[in-house]
Order: sequence, then structure tokens, then C-alpha cells
Amino acid sequence: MFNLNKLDPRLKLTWCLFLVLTALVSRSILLNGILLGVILISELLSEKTLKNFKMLTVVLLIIGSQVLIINLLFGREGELLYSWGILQIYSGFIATSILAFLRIGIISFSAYQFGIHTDTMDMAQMLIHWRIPYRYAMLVPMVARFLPVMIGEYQSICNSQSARGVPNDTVAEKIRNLPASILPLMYRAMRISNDAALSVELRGYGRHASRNFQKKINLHPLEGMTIVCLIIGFGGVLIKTIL
Amino acid sequence: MKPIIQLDIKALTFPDEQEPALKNIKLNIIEGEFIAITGGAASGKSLLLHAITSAAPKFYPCTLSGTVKVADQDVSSIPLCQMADYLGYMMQEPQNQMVNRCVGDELAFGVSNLNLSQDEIESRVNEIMDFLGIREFSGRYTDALSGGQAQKVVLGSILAMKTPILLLDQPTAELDPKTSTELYRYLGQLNREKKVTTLVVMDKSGEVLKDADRVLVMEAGTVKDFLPVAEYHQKYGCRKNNRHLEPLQVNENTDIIRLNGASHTYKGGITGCHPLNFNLKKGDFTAVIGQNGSGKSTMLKLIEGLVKPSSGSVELFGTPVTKKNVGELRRQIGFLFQNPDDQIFCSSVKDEISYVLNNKNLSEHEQDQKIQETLALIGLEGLDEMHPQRLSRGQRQLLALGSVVINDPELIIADEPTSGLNGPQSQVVMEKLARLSSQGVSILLVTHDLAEARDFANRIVVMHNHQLALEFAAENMDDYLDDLVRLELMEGGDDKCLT
Repeated sequence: MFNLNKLDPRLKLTWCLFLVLTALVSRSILLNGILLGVILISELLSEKTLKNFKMLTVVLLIIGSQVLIINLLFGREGELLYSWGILQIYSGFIATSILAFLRIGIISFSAYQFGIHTDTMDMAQMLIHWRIPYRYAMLVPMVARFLPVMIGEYQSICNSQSARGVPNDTVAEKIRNLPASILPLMYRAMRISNDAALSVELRGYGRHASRNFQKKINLHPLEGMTIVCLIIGFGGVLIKTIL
Repeated sequence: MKPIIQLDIKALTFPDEQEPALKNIKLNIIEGEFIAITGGAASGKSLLLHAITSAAPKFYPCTLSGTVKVADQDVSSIPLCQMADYLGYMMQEPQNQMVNRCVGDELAFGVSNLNLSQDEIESRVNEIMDFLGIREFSGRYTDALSGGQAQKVVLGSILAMKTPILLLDQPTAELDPKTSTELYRYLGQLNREKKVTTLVVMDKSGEVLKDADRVLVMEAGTVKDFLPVAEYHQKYGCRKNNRHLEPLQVNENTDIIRLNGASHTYKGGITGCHPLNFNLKKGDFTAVIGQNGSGKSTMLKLIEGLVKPSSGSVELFGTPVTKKNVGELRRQIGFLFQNPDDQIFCSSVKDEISYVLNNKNLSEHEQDQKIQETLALIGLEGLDEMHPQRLSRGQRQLLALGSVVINDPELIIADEPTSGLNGPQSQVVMEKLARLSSQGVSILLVTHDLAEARDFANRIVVMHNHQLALEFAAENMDDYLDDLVRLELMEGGDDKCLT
């Protein structure tokens, strides 16, 4: 069955770029709507659920409502529908808002989809295929590992502070305690990166000019053809928009 | 017999330090030997391993006068990344050493760097997963592992490289007794069958001595003794039943902690603990023991109010814990975390100790007096202005204890407070807790160390498979050894005993 995780990262990246660039180039609500639909359908086919997009959808709805208000107040496209003092509402505000919302949706969902369905080790291999030295390419999985670690460290500092009677539950309290949390967090970040650097070096990192991987990425001919089709497709959209 | 490691260190000195951190060390380690390294705090055990790997001075700037040879090669002429051809090194704090998001990638990291074929990488990773019993979490994210699981993964990544020398700095510090016994057995087997030269910085259990050939005793940066295990036992003695006998004043009528069928399930349906019915009486010193992942930490989080019960309720000092009163209740509790760095965030020992006094109406004189009394209690007098991170791990744990004690808590919750400490350091921390306990402070201790639980607590509670499985008086532990074997907390056999 179709599984986004198993696709070659180069195909996934091309797909993501195709979606983002097409959304930015095209002014067609229909085309943008179709693209957003395709993202959701592909996710549904692969994961049988859209729960990965739950949080992002909430954020997008909040942003979408702001876009709608801004266009309502400041949009000047279409015919004037209503005027009261300095407030003027034009008929084009809904179409503009929908287009903006679809574009933001496509960009965010496609980037997010690429991020969650592409193994960081696959990304590193993709960069190595593009002749980036592996010492730099491997920074991708390393960064992906350290972000949650540092979030965990921050959480443990907050827990220990609240365990010692410092109110640290609400966002406001966390902001108030930020100076007391940031210093130990910085110290820990330095100590962890120091230990990690020594650990990788002593496990032979940089020992050879190249490095092998447990699971190698392999571009299937069908995936290669799909990449070509996506590039041609984007070229078509670009030409149609210009003409 | 051929030496594989030759040390002739005249002095290893860090910048701005007058005294060398290592000095006058001249010794040979024979190929295939199993060496246990022991010594007090800041005696230079870990630094000695750093010197063998050449991380000191290549990674940690310092001046080394003398030579360190591995397989007849002067390590100063070998780039750090090439040391992987000779040795595998596991430091303390496994979470800091993992650099991959997935367990499988982490296990393959070292062997992949050696540019082995894909089949060889696959086979070595599979072999090590089966041995360490970590196949079930091979697909998990590394940041979701418990301390014990992380320790196994880092160790697996190093063992997969099949280096002729293994340097391990307290490799079982976060493992439960049964797993650490299994690990040492494997290291012993590896040493005997594959002739892997092994140097292990000993943790407080001393379990490693069963497989070691010789013991290197360090003191003040130099070798105090380097002797066979039998002689070490004769000279330094074994850990014996050292039950703390100061009478406790337990008030059976007052519950300090009460869990009424409290359970917790983490996001994604992961079980933290099943419904627990537990109480801690005033003045009680209860030890909670259990395997890695048995639910001990979740139980503590429920009590601390860091997670909400999915069912049931938690009462502290006779009051049901709610979001509103949890802050107030916490002020009567002192928390001692497994890693002292989790609770140290001030820039001097004095600031750290006095942190909780800031919200109290005490005069400067009263504050100073309380600080000095606490420093004396934890044995850190005269270090008021020192930055906490300049203290040793054992001293930092004592500092954490001091910052808890100064608030005169009615209850101290200690989560593996001696993990990562050596025998004497652990003894000091536990004796301080025992003294507080005899003064009427209730103590809830989570530990992997059965002997520690027996020696200091008056009641032992065993967690197994996320629930309370057994409860008994600490003095009767010997009667429950079969149950402890059944609950996989210690090895079976006729010679079962606590080390």
C-alpha cells in the first residue's frame, strides 16, 4: 500500500517544492484547492488518518481568521460593497482571503508532510548524494535529535523549579522564570554538545572520507519519472501564469 | 604477556591549575585483562580513561607530560577519530552521547563510521540488539528512552564496533540490579572468549569484581593500589549488611502520602502505572524498588503533582492534591532528583542553598545562620561562593540535598539520589537522609540498590509491571529473596545475596 515514509527523499522534496512553488505562482483558487486536497488525500492514503495535521490545522484556522479580518479591513479588490467612515469593504476580500489561506495551507502542510515523513538519516543521505561532505550532512539527524532533548531539558528544569516552590505552570509564570531557566539550559546545552562531540569522534566519526549507512536510499525509476513529471507540471503552470 | 595499554603519566595538568589532576601513574594493562577502577570523588578515574583515549589533552585542553601507548602506538600521534580502531569508550550520562533520533540509527552509528558493508552493519546491529534485549524498542526515538534503556543503547553502539579494548565509565549506573548483573556477565564473557581488554570504572555495587582480574584504586590523581581482586577484597573488605539501626519515630495514625487507586497513562496510551494504593506514614522511611520501566518514576510524578492521575486520587498531608493547592503542598516537600543538575540552577553554592529562603521572612543574620548550619550538615563548609558546577557529582548531590533540607521539609522524596555516585559518596548521601529520618522527616526513596534499601529504609515496596507487587519490612529482606528473584530484581541460584 502507498506509504509516504518509504518514498525516496528526493521525490518527497520535489513534491514539496512543486506544491510550494505552484501555490506561490498560481492565482487560481481551484488549482490551489486541488493541491491542498491532494496533500490531505495523500496523507489519508498513507496514514489512514489526518491526526498528524491536527495541531497545524488549529494554527492555520487562527491565522486564516486573521487573514480574513485584514483583507476585510484593508482589501481593495473588486467593487465597493459598504462604506462607513474610513471603513470600506470591497467584494474581492473573500476571494483574496481564500487564496491566501490556501497558499499558507499548502506551504505549511507540504513542508510539515515532508518533515514528518522523511527520516532524518534519509535527508542526510540525500545531501551526501548532492556532494555535501557527510560531516555536514549528518548535522541534520543530529539537530533533529537535539531539539527534543533540549525541550526535555527545559522541561526538567521547570519541573525542578516548580518542585522547589517556584510557580511554573502557566505561560506567564514560565516567561517570568525564563532568566532562571535559560542559564542552566545554556550550561546543559554546552555540556551535552561537548559530550556528544567527544562521543561521535571516539566512535570513528570522520575516520574515513565517506560513510556507509544501515539503510540506503535508492531512487526507483518510477520515482525518477515522477520527479520529471512534477518539474514539467510546474513548468506548465509557470508558462500558463505568465501567458 | 603483551601489554596493550602502557601508561607513563608524569603529570596531567589543566590550565590555571597548580596541582596536576593526574600524576605519577606508571602501569601496564595486559591484553585480555579485565580491570575494575575505583577510588573516591575526584580521584581521577574518569580522567584516566580520557587520557587513554587521548581526549585529554586533544579534546579537553591540558598539558600531559609522559606517554600513553595503546597497542604499542603513542596515542598523541593518533587522531581522535582513529582511536575507534583501538577502543570503544562509554562515558557517564548516556543521554548526552546519543546523536541519532532513532535507536536503530544510534546502534549503527559507530559501525557505519567504520565504512563497513551494509550487510555487516545490519548483522552487527541485529546481533547486539538480540544480546542486549533491545529489539523491542529498536524503532523508538532515543529521547523517549528511560535512563536504563539509553545506557543499553549507547553500550550497544560501542559493542557493535568490536574494538579490542573497552573503556566503560560506570556502565550500569542507571540499570536495575538484574540487568547490570547480566551486562557484567556479558562483558566477562566477551573478555574471556574474545580477549577484549576491559577497563570499567566501578559503581557502588561492586558487581564488576566478579569478573575483574585486577582492581586499580585511585586516590588524589594517582594510583594508590593495583592489585588482584582477591587481594583487593582482603585489603578493602566487602560491603556487608550495614543496616542503619537508629530508631525511627513512625506515627501510624498520620498519612503523609496516600494514593487511592491513582493511575496514570501517558499520551499515546503508554501505561505509566496501573491503579496504586499506597501510603507513607509520618516518620516512615520507605524505599521503592523495581526494574527499569516498572513505573517508579511515574508514581513519584503523581505524588509530586507533575502528572495528573488518570484515575483515583492523591492525598498529601491528608489533603487531596488539586491544581490549586499543589504549589502550597509542594512547599512542605523536599525533592531530591536522580541527577543533581536537574535542580541546581544558581551560580554559587550559597545562592543555591538559600534559594527557598527568599520567600521567607528571615533576617539576613537568620538566613546566614541557617545557610551555615546546612552547609555544615552536608559537609560543604567553606565552599559558599564556589560555582556549583565546579563541585564533583557527589558534592552536587549533597548540595541538592542541602537546598532541600534548608526548607525543613516534612517529607523528602528522593529519586535514585545515589545513581552515578561511588560507594563512599552514596554512603554519605544516604547517611544524611537516615539522620533526617531519625529526626522525624518522612522519606520516600526510589532506588535500584537493594542493599541500600535494606540498610537505610524501614519498609520496602516493590514495583513490577507498573503496579505494586510486594511490600515488607526492610529488616526481613532476606526472607523475600525468592520473591525478588521472581520479580527479576536479582539473579537466582544458590548463591543469591545482596552485594
